[in-house]
Amino acid sequence: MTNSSDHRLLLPETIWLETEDYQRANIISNHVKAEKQRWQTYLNLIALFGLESWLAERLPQPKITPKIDTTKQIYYLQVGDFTITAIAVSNLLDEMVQVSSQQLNNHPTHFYALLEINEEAEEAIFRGLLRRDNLDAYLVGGNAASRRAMRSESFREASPLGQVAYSTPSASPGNQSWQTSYGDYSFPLSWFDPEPNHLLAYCQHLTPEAIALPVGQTESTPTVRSTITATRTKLTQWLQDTVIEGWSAIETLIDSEMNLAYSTRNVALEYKKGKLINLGVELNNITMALLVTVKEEEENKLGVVIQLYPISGEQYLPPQVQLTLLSKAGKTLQSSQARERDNYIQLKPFKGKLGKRFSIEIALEDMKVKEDFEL
Amino acid sequence: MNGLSKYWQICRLSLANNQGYEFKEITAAQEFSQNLSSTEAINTLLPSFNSNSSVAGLCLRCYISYPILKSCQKLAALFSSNDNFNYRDLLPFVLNDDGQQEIILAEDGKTQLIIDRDGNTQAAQYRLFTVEIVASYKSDNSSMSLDNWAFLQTKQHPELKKFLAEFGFQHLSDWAMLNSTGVKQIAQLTTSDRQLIEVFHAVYRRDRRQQKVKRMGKCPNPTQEQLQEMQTLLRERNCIFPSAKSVFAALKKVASLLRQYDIWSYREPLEIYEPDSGNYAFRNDLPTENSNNALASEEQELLNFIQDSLNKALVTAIKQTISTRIAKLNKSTKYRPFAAKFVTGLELYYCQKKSLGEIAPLLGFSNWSQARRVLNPGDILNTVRTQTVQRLLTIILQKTQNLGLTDTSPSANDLQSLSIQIEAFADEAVFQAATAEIKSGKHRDLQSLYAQKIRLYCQQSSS
Repeated sequence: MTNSSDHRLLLPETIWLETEDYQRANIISNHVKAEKQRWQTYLNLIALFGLESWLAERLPQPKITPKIDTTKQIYYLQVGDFTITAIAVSNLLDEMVQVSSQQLNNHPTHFYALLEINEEAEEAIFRGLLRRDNLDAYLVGGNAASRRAMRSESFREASPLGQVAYSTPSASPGNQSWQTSYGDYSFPLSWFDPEPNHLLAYCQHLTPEAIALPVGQTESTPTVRSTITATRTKLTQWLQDTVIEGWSAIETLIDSEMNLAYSTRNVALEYKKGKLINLGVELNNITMALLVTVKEEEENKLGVVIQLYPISGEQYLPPQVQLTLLSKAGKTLQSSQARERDNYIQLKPFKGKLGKRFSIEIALEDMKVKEDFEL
Repeated sequence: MNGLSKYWQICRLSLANNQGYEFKEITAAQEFSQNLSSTEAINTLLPSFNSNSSVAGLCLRCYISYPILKSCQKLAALFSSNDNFNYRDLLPFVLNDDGQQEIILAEDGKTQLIIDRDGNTQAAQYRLFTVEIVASYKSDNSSMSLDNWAFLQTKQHPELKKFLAEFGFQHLSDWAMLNSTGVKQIAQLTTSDRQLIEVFHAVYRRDRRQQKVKRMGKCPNPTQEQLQEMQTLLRERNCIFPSAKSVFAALKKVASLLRQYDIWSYREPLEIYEPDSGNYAFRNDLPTENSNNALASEEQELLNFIQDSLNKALVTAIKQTISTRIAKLNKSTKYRPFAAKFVTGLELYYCQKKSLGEIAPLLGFSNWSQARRVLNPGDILNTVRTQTVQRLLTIILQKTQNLGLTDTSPSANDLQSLSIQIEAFADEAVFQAATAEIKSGKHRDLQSLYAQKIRLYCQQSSS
């Protein structure tokens, strides 16, 4: 009575999520504007990072990089020559999988990994895997591998609350629309291969050409660096006590499990209205905190101190990490680099007139993250 | 189950084994099904049963019992993020047919009649679920297969739904429940409840993400501040709540509503339709075919080779999995103290047959869920299975390439079907029994090959 997917009915693959996964997901999802999308992005990122560590523990020579571009809403893992999108769902009791059109279309990837995120219990269940070539075949529906469709008319049961407000995609065999009335896609769970281990087999034994991606899109899409393009942060707003989402007050960071190695002596106390902010920086999976302290100076000027700290219990910054102040035009104004055992690094305090723009760049090896500011 | 055996083997409850069910051969059904053609069986049996052939009914009841079992397993798997129940808890609701009674339907097409030894009929004391499914299935104008009908009927079983409402979401707080509500569930609520959830999402989800940075764990009650913000946002939408407290009460009410299984499961049925044949194919996520003989006979040589490799791969995989786990624990700030106790934990579980709950205090875990995170036997088993299968796959690919049987880079579909075959083989030989025994609740009898190898590992590493 054995079928290879039987095993997954009894013992689904559980991925334990780490505090760090939540932190990274939170920081990056802060860049998404609408709260509705933000929560889903947050869950998708948790899934992405959970998947990343799952793969890292199981592939013999893992070369895994998360590729994240918040402006284009592109999030995927680069595993060797393959790309993987993580689809996060809260539950699958209706056996349908909701996927946003951005996730599907912005940057097609070789694989779609379906993870059920149990946010509260800090676990993800790896529910299944869908290859892009199979997905496209299902979507088109004309292909021999995908002559499958949903019947709409049968077995219509009233909702327990007496309302049937939700409409599933209208369907007739062979001519299927998988797009829902609210723009997203809704796929049957049965499209997904219930055995997540096949992802390991594909990554190890296939060449990327074995899985056809939609034509014309992957080639033209420029390689996405792990760059977070943030909206410009207006520092004057802090003086009015408005902090942009994504930046936390100093107390938040000190209390938190992020264990920010913070001591008052490191922040110039003379800055009266100093606000601490955290920029989680995704560089080779190392998270750091960027601290910006501002104070009002004479003649409509602001004084600024920029520092970079390790978090998550790390005592030292990664050696060679570089903190750079750039002008609006991108010219390097000053820079500081971490040595072997630096608890933090900082730029020389500077002043500027209101409205002046600058950027801070954090770089480690070939990875760079830039954050834009306006005084 | 191959060929016609599904028409004469009934899946019924059993307390005698780890799985909680067994397949019982029904002699009368076996004799009757000799004359069936495997492609036309259902179409032959249904009309016979409807014209009072109780033995045709027996064949159908056997046939139906397997999808019922699968539905329970599938349902439990969909709820698997909690350990409050497993599929064996669901079986008694729906597997109430042991195949011992001869039953026909009364003229109303519903009432079940028992035929006694003298050939007299009397109304049955309780209704068999298998017979109910067959009786309600309309083959002529149905748009779905009998299998899928059985699956859906099982999902809709009132007692089973009640059970799921009670235990299915027990592990989730009201706030996590509200948090995980999606467009689809919201659409089933009243307008005012919808407003309430949307406003809750706007406030609570935003803060939840930030909160998680500070403190992991359960979703706390919304604060007074959050409730007031929701109250304000609701007012902007013309929903007036007199106080923050009343918002709280209303949210609690919606949360309890959301604990109904129906809200989450609601959707139209899925059936895979083959336009060419005009038939409905089996769903590939509800396996109905046995794959014991997945490897065809011409691959017998390969099979022998895999058999030889399996044992070696299993032992290596166990070693590798355990050492990777220990290394990972050593790296963790939170779980480092348990690295040295990991093998002891395995020993307590597999040699002394203690449960995780018993092991937790012995090894100094602060609670059961911490022990579960470090020492979950299911996780360890899954990882060993993964490593074993990957190892076998690599060996076999090399071998077939050396023999010139396959190209150096296989196609994705070939690789997938080879993986499935190897998994089926490894599950049959090792992991199926290993899974059943750890899933069997209190009286675990850890006799599988896997358990033996784990014990061997423990002995070797402690000597």
